[in-house]
This record gives sequence, C-alpha cells and structure tokens, in this order.
Amino acid sequence: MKHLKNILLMLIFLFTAGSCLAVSPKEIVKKGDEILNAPKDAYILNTMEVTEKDGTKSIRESEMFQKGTDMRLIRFLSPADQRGIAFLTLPNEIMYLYLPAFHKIRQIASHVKNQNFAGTDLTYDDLSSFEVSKTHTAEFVREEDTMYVLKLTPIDRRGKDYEYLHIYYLKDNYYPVKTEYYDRSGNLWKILERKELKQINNYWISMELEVRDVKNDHTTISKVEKIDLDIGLDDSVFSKRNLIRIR
Amino acid sequence: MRWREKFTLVLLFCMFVSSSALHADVSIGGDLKSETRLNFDDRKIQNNSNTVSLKFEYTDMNYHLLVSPKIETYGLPVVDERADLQNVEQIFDLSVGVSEAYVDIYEFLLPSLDIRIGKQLIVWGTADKINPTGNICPSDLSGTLEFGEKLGVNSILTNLYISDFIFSFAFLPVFTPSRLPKGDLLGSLIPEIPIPDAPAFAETTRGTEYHTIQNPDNVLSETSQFAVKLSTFVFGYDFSMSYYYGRYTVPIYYQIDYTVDGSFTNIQTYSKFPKVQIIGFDLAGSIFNMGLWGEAALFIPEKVMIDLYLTGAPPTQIGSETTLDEEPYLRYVIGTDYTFSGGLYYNLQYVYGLDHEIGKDNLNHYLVFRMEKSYFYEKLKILPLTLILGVHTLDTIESNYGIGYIPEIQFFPSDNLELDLGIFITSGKGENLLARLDNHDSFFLTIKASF
Repeated sequence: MKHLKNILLMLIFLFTAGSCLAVSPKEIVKKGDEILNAPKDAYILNTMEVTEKDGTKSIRESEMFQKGTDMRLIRFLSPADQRGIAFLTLPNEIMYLYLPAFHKIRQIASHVKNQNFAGTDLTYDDLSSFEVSKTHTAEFVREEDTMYVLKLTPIDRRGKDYEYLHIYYLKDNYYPVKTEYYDRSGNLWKILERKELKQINNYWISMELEVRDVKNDHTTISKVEKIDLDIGLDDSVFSKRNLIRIR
Repeated sequence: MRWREKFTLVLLFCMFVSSSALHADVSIGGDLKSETRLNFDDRKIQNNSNTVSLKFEYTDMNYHLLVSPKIETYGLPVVDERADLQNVEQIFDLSVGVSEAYVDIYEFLLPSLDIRIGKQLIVWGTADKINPTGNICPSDLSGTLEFGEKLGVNSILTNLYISDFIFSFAFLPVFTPSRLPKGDLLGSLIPEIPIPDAPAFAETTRGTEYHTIQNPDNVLSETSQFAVKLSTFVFGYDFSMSYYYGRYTVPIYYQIDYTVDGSFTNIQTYSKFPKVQIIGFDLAGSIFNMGLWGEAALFIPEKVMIDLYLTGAPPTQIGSETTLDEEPYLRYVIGTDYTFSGGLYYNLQYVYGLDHEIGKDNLNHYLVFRMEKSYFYEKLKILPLTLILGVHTLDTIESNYGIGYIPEIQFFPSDNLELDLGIFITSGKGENLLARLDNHDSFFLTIKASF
C-alpha cells in the first residue's frame, strides 16, 4: 500500500511540475537559440582578458563577423604573436583556420572542437556552435525564481569533451545567461556566463561573457567594445578570401 | 656590412618612420628569433643565429601594403687571418634583406579580383609543411629539417573568385634559387662528388673543389615562371588542380672537370637549374572526424646530361650519363591528424620525395609522425615523439635507410614569448638525407619574442 502511495505521489509531482512549465524544454532551448541569434548579422569588437591560476592576466583583442545561425568569422588583432589568426565557421560544420605564420588557410576537422582557442577558455566548439536546440536533447532540471534550468545532452558526442550541460534560461525572455559544463564523471568543469544584458535595436545582447574553468582555476572575460547590428553583411564576408584579408 | 645593406637599412628606417608619422594606421610589428644548435658528436656550434624580422603594414579599404625587412646574423665569426679582425662583417656575419614587400589591391578592375604585386611568399598545397605542389617559391633549406620554409619571390599573383571557385595565376619575371645550408650541413643535401674509378686517378686524394653555377640567361623567356591553380569546394572537401612552368631551384650538375695535380684530384663542377613543368592536385577535408589531406605533383623535367672530363691539353671526356631523365615522375604526400579527448594530438604523413630530391631515381619514402600535448592552456607543449623514417626502396632497406628522432618542449611563459628546446638525432645507412645527417646529432634552443 505504501509503495502504491509513493507512485501516486510521484505521478502527482510529475504532473504538477509539467503543468508548471508554460513551454516544453525543447521550446525553451529553441527560444534561447532564437534570442541569441536574433540579429540578422553583427560585427563585434571584443577584448578578452585571460586570467591564469596565479593571477597573471593577458589581453587579446578580436573582431567577429556573424550572420544567421551558421556563419562566423573571428580574427585576432592582438597580441602580436596571434595577430591575424582567423577562424571561419560555415554551414555543415565546415571550419577554416588561417595562420599568418604559415601563409596558409587550413580546413580543420571537427576533432579540434574540444580544444581551447588561442589559450582562452573558449573552445572551437564554443565558437562554432550556434543552435544547441539542433545538436542537443533537452530535459527539465529545476525551476528557480527567475530561471529555468535545463539539462542538455549532445546528440553527437564527437568534438565534445563534456558529458552534458546545465543551461539557465531567463523566464521572461528565454535568454541563456549561464551554462555549466559537466565532464564525463559528472563533475562541474566549466561555467559560461552571459552578463550585462542590454537591449540594442530591440535585440538582447550580452556585453560581457565570462568563461571559468573550475577545475584549473582559469578564466576568460570577453567584453564587447563595439557592436554593430543588422549592417547587411554579405555572404562573401564569410569566405576564405576574407579570412586572409587584413583590415 | 656592405654599403648597399647599410643604405637599405637607412632607407627602410626613414621610409617607415616617416610613413608612420604621416599615417597613424601603419602598424609596426615583428619578432626577434635567437637560435643555438650544438652538435653532440663533435661538440661544435652549428648555429648561433639571431634574426630580427620586422613587419610594417598599412591597410586601407581597397589596398594593403606590407614590408618585412629581415636582419640576420649567422653568429659564427669568419676569421681566418689577422686582417679579418679589422672587418666587422667577418666578425659578425650579417645579412640584411626584405623577406616580403608587396601591395594587395582588392577588387582590382573586377569586384571578384584581388591582385598582389611585389616580393611575396606563395604557399600552395594542403599538406603539412611538405608541399609537392608548392613550387612557386624556392625552398629555404638552410634549416635542413625545417621543412616548408620558403623564400619570397618577386611576382604578380591574381586571385579571381567566382562562386565556389578560385582561379589563381602567378607570374614571376625573375628566377630565384633555393637557399642551401651553411657549413658542412650542405653535404646532407648535396652528396659528395665521387672521384672516378680510373687509372688516371689512382693514388690521388681529393683536392680542392670549385663549384660554378650557371644562372638562366637574363632574358624574360629564360628567367620567368608562371603557375595557375583552380580551387573549389565539393562534398566537404577542398580540391585544387595546378600547373607550374619554371625551373628546379636546387642546381643539377651538367659537367665535372677533374684535374690531377700531383697526388691530388681537383674538382670543378658546373651546375644549372633545369626547366620543369609540374601538374599538381591536392585535397583537404575530414573523414571519421579525422583531418585528411593529400597532394600529388607530376614533375615533367627537361633532360640533363652530365659530362665528365679529365683536364689537360686537350681535355679528355671520360664519361657522359643522364643526370636528370626527362621521364615524368610523381611526388606525393598523404596525411592525417586527430586530437584525442584530453588534448593529445597526432599528425602522420607519408611522403614520397622532398624538394631537394630531383629526378625519379632520387626520390625516397618518408613516414613522418608527430605527437604533441599541450598543458596549462597552451603555455607548455610537449612533443615527445617526432619521428621520421626514410627508405629509398623496400628492396634496399638494409643498405639505404634513415631514422630521425626530434623530441621537443615548447614553453610560452607569456604572450609573445616562445622557447623551444629539443634534440635532433638521426641515424641511417646509404645515400639519404637522414643517413647523411648521422654526424649532426644536436641539441637546439630557440627563443622567439614577438612585438
């Protein structure tokens, strides 16, 4: 009898929890993707501050062109030994890296996706993933005062060093303000936070991105210095021709 | 330093200080690289060079200007007699040059056409460092096993972008030869001239050697080279086909004169840069999540005969044979790379033929394997297993093979600073690059600071 009571209570809980969510986890993730990728295109000038375990800081400057959900070009402007290094992401997971020292554009395979990009806490995967709703399954974890917390598990594990993510979506606009990365053992590995949300041209934009490697006590803070939205970027910007073009 | 070098330095300095003052947009950067290489076997210092590379750039919407002067000190004094001590250039072997100096004009005449004019590095091919299809720029072989280093050439390069196709055309009015290594490392690339087994040379030993190079006649039809390439992207792979018409940049002997002088045989060689046509094909992409690339180049050389003479009055021809056959031959590279979870990276290439291996009978098979692992957010990179295996043919593996082992540690203590420490060990038998380097096992330290 006690066993039956427990099952009944659990069913009531699940029914209640489900009815509390106005939208399904899948919809939340989709809406989160939509709000992140809402601008038609963007040009962003960034400053990245990388903090080592011992507190040593170094600065990187980069520019980023983005269009739609599958085209992005990132180019380092400083420091001197990284100036001109550029990374291009195209549809169907096609990625190119330009290393000025080798005078060569190289197509890179997805095995590099879990590697850190140029000594920062951002991986190639972080830089090339635009729509987690298409690449992950989502399930509800908990509801907080202002946020939904969902667990996202990659459908294809290739290029993913993490086992699953916990993403925190704001209830009012579904903006994904925080992502926790859990390693294969289920331990918290990395935290990505989108801070200083601002509304620009009716789009919600995070002006500061902080990525903290909890295991190695290493942090990267990326700040938006300049942003231009809906500037009519042509597809040709996202090309090998433009990858090597110094601006 | 010769007056021309001094003048070049002063001119460059004035140009860019003034241009920097006029244009705040001129960016100035560069690096200082210091290399020391100590030979284990004879404890000699093989290299003690310091190189300052500068880079001045100005960028506008429609054009980009780059000038990159290079000042290099070899670091080993060339002092043979007291008078040499009075010449600073003998004490400090200094060279001043410009590795690149070009202007890019974007959307030149057509919106889809870019053009680059001036001294530039043009690197074609998808393989890692060893590119059989990259023949426009001559190789800088001064580092021997630092594959892939090239010298800038005066050229016009146009790139026409149409949809997924890139049509490239390069024209080089002037011929530029490869740079060869200094000192006894030269012998690793160019084998010693044998003394013929004939009665005239019996009981003589090797005397002095003189090597004369015949440059192409200074007319456009002889010095110019051109190359075309069509690149595209299909089914996730980058493909390109290319054609090069030009010359080998490493010289080939066409005549050797032997002079018997008492108990010595003196040798006078004559070399030239034969013409060659090269049809190339390359691809790059991925398979099963691994990087994959391949390159093949069909070399169609002109025939070169070598004539051997015993000097005297009159000289006697003692032999004549083909040193470079006109029969086409193929050089190729197939490679793959992968990064394991946790950051362990491997890179494997199978190579048939290197830049200095000219002619179908001189090609060797190489297997090049590199493994590396980064630590502390790429502050430290350890390359414990860089291996090169070389054989001429499987039939002759016992008498002609080479093994190279180059473990390395790279340390990046801060941005813009890089230290590279390693050892270079080779062993082998026969006439191949690795076997010839057998007595050059060395320790090396490189420090590079960028600004």
